[in-house]
Amino acid sequence: MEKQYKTIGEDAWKNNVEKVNAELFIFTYGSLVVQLVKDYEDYAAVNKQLDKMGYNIGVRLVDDIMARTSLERCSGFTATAEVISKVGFKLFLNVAPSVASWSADGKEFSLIVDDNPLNDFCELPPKAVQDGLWYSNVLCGVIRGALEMMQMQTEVEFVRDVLRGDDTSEIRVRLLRMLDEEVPASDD
Amino acid sequence: MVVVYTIYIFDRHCECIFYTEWNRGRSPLSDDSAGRPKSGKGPANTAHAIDRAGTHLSGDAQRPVVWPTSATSTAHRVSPESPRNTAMEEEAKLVYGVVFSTRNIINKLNAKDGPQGGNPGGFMSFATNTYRLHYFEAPTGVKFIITTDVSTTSMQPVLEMIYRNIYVEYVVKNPLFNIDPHVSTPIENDYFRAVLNNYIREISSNTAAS
Amino acid sequence: MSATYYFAIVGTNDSPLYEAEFGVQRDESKYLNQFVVHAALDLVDDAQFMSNACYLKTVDRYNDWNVSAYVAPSNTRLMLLHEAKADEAIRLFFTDCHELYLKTLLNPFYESNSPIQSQTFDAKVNTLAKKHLL
Repeated sequence: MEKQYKTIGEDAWKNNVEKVNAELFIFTYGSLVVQLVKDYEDYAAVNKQLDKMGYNIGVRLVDDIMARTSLERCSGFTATAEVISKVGFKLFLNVAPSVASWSADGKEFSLIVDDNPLNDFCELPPKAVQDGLWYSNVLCGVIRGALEMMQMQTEVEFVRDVLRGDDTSEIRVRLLRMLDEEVPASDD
Repeated sequence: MVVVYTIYIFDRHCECIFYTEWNRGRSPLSDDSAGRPKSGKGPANTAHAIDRAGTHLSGDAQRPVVWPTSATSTAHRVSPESPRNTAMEEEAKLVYGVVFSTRNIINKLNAKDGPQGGNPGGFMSFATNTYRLHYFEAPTGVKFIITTDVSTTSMQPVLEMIYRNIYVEYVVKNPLFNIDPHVSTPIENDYFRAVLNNYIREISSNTAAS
Repeated sequence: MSATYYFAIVGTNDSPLYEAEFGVQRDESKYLNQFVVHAALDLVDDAQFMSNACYLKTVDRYNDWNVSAYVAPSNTRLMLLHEAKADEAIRLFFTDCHELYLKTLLNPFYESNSPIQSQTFDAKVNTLAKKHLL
């Protein structure tokens, strides 16, 4: 099963994705974050904005993934985690974070991002580290937005980041609940 | 040969966000009791009519009627007085009700029903003696419905094609389209309409397609 | 060898971006170093039009000090005060430092022409100095 997602992700990456120059992408993201830092002067607010932006990206990206691959709706949250890593991250960032630290109830897992392309060239000023800036927080929003479109309400947050001196970057994904499909409003 | 009559697109909130028709005799859009001007005559549509007159020399010079627009949509009506096509709204609701219930009963009979919806039972189409209705549901819950003549049996590839290469490309990827999962927005993207129209025209004239 | 080196990066508007001393520290020369480097900037301006290379070798002398310069294409200048002559070693040091400086420029949080405060940068420059100069 895992293998299959890996193949789907790699095939789609090879054949179906238009590539963009990595430096252009990284610098665009970098200057966006820095501008947010300048405008908001508050790292918590920047985290929040990045998450919101990511959310808006995520709700679109998920349709894009579905259009490029022939994935079906996942059978369970375990499969969802694999798809996020092997297809989602692979397709858009060409990395496949490992899925780890499942909680006992199977509703929480971590994505260990060893090589986050957004981090390239970046070095956080000490103040940003101290005040809790999560530089790549946009990724959390993307995952949250994408999962919400698949009827899963989640909480996604960074818990570790190499840019802040941790040994690896870790994104924690927590499933809050499955959303029910909406039913048409009755006429009366 | 495929004869396409209508296309409906419903979003996750059971709202019709796009409707268009071809070769349809009597339509709730044309005999509109609310007095909405016929398509192409309203001030907002004048530009399209001119544009199309320039690009399409033969065939029907009319752009197919589309509904809703932000002026007529139930979800996004600007003001209570703005023109509203009640007959069309009713029809959209009924169509949604039919496919929704049909899909649910099919899922149920396959013992694959769940509160998250989806189409695991594999509802594809049903036919009457005058038309056939084809159904496709994207994993994100967007529903595509197309009605054709009875003899056209499989439109699944067409619906998938519309989802993958037209809806995703021209609607989802349009940064100006509000895709907020909590609000319905009608598709008013002219590019989307034009590409869809061309595609339907293409499969209608292609004899091998059926 | 008890050599002393003073290294400075000077921004396009002649303001210091970074400075470091390697080898034996000489307290009395701290301000003198800055002064000597600053005085040499004019000579760098002259010398850079005489050569196509970034590395201008020794551009000035002050007592027993040699002043070597390396002009990056952005007109940021890398300056080194040293006693002994060692053109090739200094060229390598400058080239590597230039690369480090470029990496700093790529950091979205670094504004060009602002002082370089990164400790990583400082550590790396010191490593380079050990490798090439000391």
